[in-house]
Amino acid sequence: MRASPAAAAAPEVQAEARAAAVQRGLQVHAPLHRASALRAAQSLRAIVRTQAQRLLRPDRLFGRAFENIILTLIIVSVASVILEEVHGLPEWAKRALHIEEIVVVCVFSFEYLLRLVAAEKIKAFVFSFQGVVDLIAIAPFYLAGVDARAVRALRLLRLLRVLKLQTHILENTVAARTRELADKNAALEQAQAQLKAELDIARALQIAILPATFPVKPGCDGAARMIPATTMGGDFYDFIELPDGRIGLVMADVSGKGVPAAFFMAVARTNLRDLAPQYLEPGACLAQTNAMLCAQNPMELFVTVFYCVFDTSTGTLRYANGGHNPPYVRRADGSVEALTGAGGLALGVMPGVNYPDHTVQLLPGDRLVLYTDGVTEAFNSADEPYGVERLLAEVKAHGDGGATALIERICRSVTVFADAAPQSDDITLTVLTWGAP
Amino acid sequence: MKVKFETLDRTTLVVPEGRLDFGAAAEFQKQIERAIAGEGATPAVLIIDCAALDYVSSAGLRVFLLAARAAQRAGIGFALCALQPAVREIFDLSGFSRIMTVHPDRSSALAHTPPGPV
Amino acid sequence: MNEWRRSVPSDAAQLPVLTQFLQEFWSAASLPSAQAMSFELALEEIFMNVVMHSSSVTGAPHIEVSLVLAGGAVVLTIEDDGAEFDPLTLPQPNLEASLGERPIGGLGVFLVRQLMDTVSYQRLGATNRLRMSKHVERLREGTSQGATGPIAK
Repeated sequence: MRASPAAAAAPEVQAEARAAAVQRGLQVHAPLHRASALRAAQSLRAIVRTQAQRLLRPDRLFGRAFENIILTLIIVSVASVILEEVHGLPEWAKRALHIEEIVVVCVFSFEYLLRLVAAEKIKAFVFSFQGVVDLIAIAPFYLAGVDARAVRALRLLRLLRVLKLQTHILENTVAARTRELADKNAALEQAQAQLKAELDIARALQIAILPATFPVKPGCDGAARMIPATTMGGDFYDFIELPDGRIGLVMADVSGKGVPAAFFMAVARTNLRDLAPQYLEPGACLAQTNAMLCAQNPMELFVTVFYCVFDTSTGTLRYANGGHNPPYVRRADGSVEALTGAGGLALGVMPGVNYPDHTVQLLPGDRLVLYTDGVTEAFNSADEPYGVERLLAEVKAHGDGGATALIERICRSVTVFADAAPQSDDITLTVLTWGAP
Repeated sequence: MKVKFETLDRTTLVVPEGRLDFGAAAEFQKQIERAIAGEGATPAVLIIDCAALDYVSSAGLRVFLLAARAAQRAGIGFALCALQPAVREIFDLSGFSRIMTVHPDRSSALAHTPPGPV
Repeated sequence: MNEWRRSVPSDAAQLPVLTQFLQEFWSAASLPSAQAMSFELALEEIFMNVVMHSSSVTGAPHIEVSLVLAGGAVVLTIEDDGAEFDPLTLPQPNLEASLGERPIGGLGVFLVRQLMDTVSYQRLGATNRLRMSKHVERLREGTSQGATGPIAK
């Protein structure tokens, strides 16, 4: 700012000029801008209110100290009401009680005014329970000058200060409990979020260990899919490369849900996979896997397993069943047959179970469909199961289409059927078409 | 287990109804012994009609074995009839079908069980 | 369906309790009642064997029976906390003997082996465990009864 000759004048002159300007401004603004003056007054009131609220806050030092003083004075004044009625009280005692009364009323009046100012809505405070109680606590003093008998009566009203005590204690307790609850809730939510995150990782790992693609073998069009349920389950499929152009196909379902089932699934899969190259007869492989699982099964789980060894050069399929739903073969002419035959007990129940082997011959164009009961026992909201018929209908309708496309088709069909009902069990499918031209 | 008795000439028919398990075996054995001893005159033939016998365990089989032996000792003709399929299976498995006579129904039992030892 | 368990003192009078327990499981699992008898018999034979042969240093032993559906089979497990005892080692009956020669006992365990698909004994810590299983045909809802053609069940 360029210094003007006027600004270079003496400081006292400057101050005077400024004050006059302010006054002028107020005088100029008041009649023309009543609204802004009102706003100014309102914001002034807001500032004062905020300050009063801050003083009363129980989490601040002043607020707590003030509260304790009030509580002490309440007790003191109630005690004094009783003491006053004692006959033959010495003069000094009477005077002390009188002084105490004055002090108490002053402090209570100050508190009342403070609360009045701090209140968001003044009328609401005045007519609230606390407002009425606080007013009654100090009213007797101010009305003392009216009538001697009335004064005595009104003095007894001071006992109502006990009510004041109650509202204080109640307030404090409620505030403390609310804080406690809020803290506990926050801790719980955090723990839950952490648990969910870990379960999500576990489920991702569980899915990741399933083979993503079918081994490349001449004449084989194979695919598989596992759609996990809402709660972690224990379904799994597997493809195991074996010597001389053979593949081992596994379809399995672990009992139970959650972390134990997922764990057992991993153990069962690994055991079977390790034993398969050594025990090429499916029945023997299941028997050995069963022995291994029974040797260490602290959670007493079991797993139903269908295991077959498929010779990709001849089309011969050797299979054994440990309590699992029999798979289906759709022949090239469209007929469908189940791979039945005596099976053994689910694996993990007891050692020494026998799993008989069976053989079936696949011809070029035949298709093998393996599945778990998450498909056939998928329920809709009317509590109807998807069932085997619907599954086979999809298989038949698919005709000579590709394996992946059939899996997609079946999964879509199950999802549409189940509609809004939540998926309670893993849905697992494997399809193998052999000797496609 | 309820046990009914019927008499036809000198034939006593014992008709057990329900389950012959360990709990019922002791009482059933006593009743058969009473039937063999007879009320006054001993019967010439004792037939156990098992049409209403739903279940038998090894304790029950034991009673049948003892009954057959007791009848033999007492010189009474002895036979069983109308075994339900599940009970028949147990009899066959335990080889009892070979050591005592089993008839398909009451009439053939009555017709073909001579008095005297089996 | 989850596993069902029932624990009773080792006493012959408890047999009806266990039989009822088995029957309740059977209907809850929607299994055909005609197939229950094999299990009722197996339960009685093993239970009575344990009651008669088990002894315990620390008072009367307890017997726990559990039932579960595993794949297409029912698994029955009978455990007791008595002294080590394997009912499967009891002598086999002589099925060829004549009426006069047949010994009275020995049929119980034999029948269990005949009726069940698999039977096994294990000593686990301070517990005897006898576990047996048999394949059962479940009554399924929503499946066609009387399917024709090569679709076998």
